[in-house]
Amino acid sequence: MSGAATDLALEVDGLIISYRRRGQTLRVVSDVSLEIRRGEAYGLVGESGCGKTTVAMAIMRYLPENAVVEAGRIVFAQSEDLLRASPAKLRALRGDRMAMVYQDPGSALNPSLTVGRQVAEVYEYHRGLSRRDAREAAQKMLRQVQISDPDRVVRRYPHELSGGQQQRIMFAMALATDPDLLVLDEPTTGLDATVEAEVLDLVAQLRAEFKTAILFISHNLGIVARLCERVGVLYAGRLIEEGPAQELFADPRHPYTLALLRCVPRLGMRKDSHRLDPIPGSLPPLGTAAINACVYAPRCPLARERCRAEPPPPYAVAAQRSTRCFFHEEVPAIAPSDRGAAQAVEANQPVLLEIEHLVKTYRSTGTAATVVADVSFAVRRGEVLGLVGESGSGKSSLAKCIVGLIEPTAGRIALDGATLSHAAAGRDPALRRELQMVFQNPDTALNPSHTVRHILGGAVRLLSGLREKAKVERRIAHLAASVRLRPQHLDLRPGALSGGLKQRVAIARAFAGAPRLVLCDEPTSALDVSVQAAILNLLAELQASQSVAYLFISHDLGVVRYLADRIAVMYLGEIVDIGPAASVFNPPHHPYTEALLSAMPAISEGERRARIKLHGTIPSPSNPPSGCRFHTRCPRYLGDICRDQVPPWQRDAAGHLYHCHIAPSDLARLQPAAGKQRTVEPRGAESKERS
Amino acid sequence: MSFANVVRRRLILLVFVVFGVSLVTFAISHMIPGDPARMMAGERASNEVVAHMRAVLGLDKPLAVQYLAYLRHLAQGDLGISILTQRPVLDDLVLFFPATIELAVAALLFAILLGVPLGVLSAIAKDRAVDQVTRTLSVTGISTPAFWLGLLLIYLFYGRLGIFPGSGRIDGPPPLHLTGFYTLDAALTGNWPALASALAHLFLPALTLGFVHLGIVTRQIRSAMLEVLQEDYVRTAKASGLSRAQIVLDHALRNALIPSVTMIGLAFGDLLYGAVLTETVFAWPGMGNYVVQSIAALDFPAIMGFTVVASTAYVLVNLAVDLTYMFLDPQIRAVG
Repeated sequence: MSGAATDLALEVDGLIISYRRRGQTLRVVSDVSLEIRRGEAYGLVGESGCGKTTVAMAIMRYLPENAVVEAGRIVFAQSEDLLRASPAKLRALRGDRMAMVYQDPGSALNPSLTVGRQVAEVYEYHRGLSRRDAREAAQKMLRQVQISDPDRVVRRYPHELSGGQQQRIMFAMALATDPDLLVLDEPTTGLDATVEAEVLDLVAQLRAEFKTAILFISHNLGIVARLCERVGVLYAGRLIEEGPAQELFADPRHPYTLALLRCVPRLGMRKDSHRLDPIPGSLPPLGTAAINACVYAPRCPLARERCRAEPPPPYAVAAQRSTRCFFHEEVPAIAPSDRGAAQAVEANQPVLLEIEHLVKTYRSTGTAATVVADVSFAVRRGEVLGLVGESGSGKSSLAKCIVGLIEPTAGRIALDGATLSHAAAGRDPALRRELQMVFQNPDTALNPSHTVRHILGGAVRLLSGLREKAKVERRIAHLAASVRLRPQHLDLRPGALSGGLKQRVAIARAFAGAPRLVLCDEPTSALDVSVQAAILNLLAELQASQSVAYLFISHDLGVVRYLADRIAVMYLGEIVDIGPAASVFNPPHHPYTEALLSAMPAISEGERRARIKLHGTIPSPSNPPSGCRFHTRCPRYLGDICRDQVPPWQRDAAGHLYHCHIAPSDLARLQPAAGKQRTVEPRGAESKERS
Repeated sequence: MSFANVVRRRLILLVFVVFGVSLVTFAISHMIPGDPARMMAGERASNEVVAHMRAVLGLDKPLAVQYLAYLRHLAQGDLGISILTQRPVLDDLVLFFPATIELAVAALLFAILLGVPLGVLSAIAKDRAVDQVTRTLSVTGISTPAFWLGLLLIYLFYGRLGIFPGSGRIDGPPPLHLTGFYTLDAALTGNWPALASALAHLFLPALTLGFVHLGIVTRQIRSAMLEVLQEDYVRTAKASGLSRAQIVLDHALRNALIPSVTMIGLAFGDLLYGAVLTETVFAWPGMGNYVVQSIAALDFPAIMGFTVVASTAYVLVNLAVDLTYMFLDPQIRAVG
């Protein structure tokens, strides 16, 4: 629409930003131009280090001191060039006509002021309201962002609120003055899936209400696809492709966009049928991307002479669509690099790990919190058991009990039929070797002052019992090769490695002996999608080649669906749903599983499910609800029976067990499969009675 | 946890602290060689006189018996009779202790009232001239010996300029004894000439004693402010378009004070013990002189009395610190 040019909320034109570091000038944003119309949501996607946050910070004029805007204009509401605005003018605009919501609301709110005070401050400053009027306005705003009991919440401090509530407060602050532009920088990263879905629902609803233009920055393609009309893809500081969200994701015209989409495990993809397609090579280090060539050429399957000699201009490939690729017409024909999938594990293997009635209770003065409540399950040899659940469900505590990092209060843990003592120190060293763990954050799991060789060498000596220097060296080289580390990586320290390489080192360390069971605690959640794909492939290969079993903990259901043979869903310390992966993902399943699945952000329409909204937050494990633990939040609540009686295990035809009063045949009728959209709302008045 | 709970817990803890401190002090002071009875009686006194003296002082009984007797008296508020002054130790402490506390509090107030603004200023003007000057001042403060500074100040303001007195607590009669703090007593009784004199006498010693801590406070506040100014919530405040003053004073300083309070509480302990030199230089009639003389004379009751009272004061100061902490930091309030 050419007529819409008069209706721009934001126009970024030819923006170039560099960072000065140790006398060097590193270009991080290179000639970025974009336009956002009034009331439009524009998604800016890209992996870490692509410059998306720098663009956002430039728009808010909040760049770090060593950043230099070398060229460009940022025109706000067709009047003000923000890059030339005076500090006083900026203060008047910020928080009034433009506002921002950040990742990690926990640290974005002042810990020593009540949240009501923080929201009210915006009214006092920008609207000149008195303290009392501002407080009332703040309460009203909290109601608009759907905070329950706003009169009480205004007097709370940030740490007393859940992550979802904190983010609602951030939205209340941002929307207090009904701004023209709202910049959202990864507003749901770090939140649980159900909370994330709630926040996104809120954004969608507030958009309709406030008609605010939104710049939505995210690494999550599914979220952007769901929420934004138009999308821009950033790579190494360049906007390489832009267009309407649905079209762009359905038919990408830049090799990078295509590759990014192929990294994400989609519906119907499993480790034994599809290998994920990670992007070869890695992002150019900050500021070293070629200025006089295509930035993606070093990793691109289409790259030719021309790509390395001149930067591609934007090509208009369709209405409102542009891409910076000389060979954009060939993009749809790029074949997936199909190198064969990992072999499936044979069914009916003997049981390897057996957990019986495991309980972990934390006691402190006067209260006892049971974070793992009578959990029983088994993992077979060479099998991947995916363990999912929101934070506070007890999945990490369960994993720590199994490896012996914390002592369970009661229950039995057996490996190959031999009962393990509760504390790791009391276990047979041979058994300890067979149980290893890979942690979420490779940055903190590796000692930064040791070289990779030293780290792996220590693990080899400890876990494989090798002493002879030459043998240890050979084993290290073998390990490094099996996780695709290059020999030159061995003499580097973790600080010199990228996140993906670090996680490979951590995985190699876990495989230093010959483990039979590896506990993976969110091993890819700190990684970018292209790196995640490579790590998932690696884990699938190692599983097949070494016939090792995994207990794979993750909040990302897409990842679990791809890798796991069986899935267990935990809620408030209990397993509520367990069975073969396919049957857990398909109805009938536990209403909680249903809600988790519905919260999954999906890239294409066909993968989306009916939104099941849960109300409230996960109850405290020190005071769990009676009867069915899920009854206070359950969208399929039946009545008194759920409140008063512990539900039985129900079994469906596929050997899938879940803990519910509703029989499989009835649940199957209620629950639609993926692709059929219908929203199930929590019942209002009735549900309040229950709490 | 409520304030009342914290106070109750700490007061119970105080009993144990006093018990532990008295035990250790008692043991140490009786283990060092020297015989107070002999010292009291004099070098040439006959052995009979010394033995009599020992019996009078109760030093002939076994140590455990002596200690239990001491505890029994302590529980009744009796700290014993000073061997040196021959007066009840409690009376001596009531006489000397307020002087030291008054000096320490004045020094601390000086350090806080000047140090906090300087630290804030230094942080927001990082690496600019104001910051350079402040940092130089704070390093100078930390590295200047108190006795040297004291002598210098006396030379300048008393000797040369004659605008501040150089010794003692007050000229003329002290104000009516209510608390023992001359400034407070004078203010409470409306005795303005005495207040003026007490303040004038307090000025140079407090400056001397507080100067080191001024450096420490400034530094602490500066680094805490620099850290807090990097926090995400300061970014939020800026993105909300708040003014610089609001951001610095409402959002940043409040959080920067939280780690600083602990440090200031510990500094008060230092001030109590560090007062000895300053008191000597300014002939300030406080605990410093009293304790030094008691130690030289092996005056057990006096040493014990001072230690018990000083450690009680220290526990109380830390209680005040924790309460301030709870007031400043809502997260501590919740956890206790």
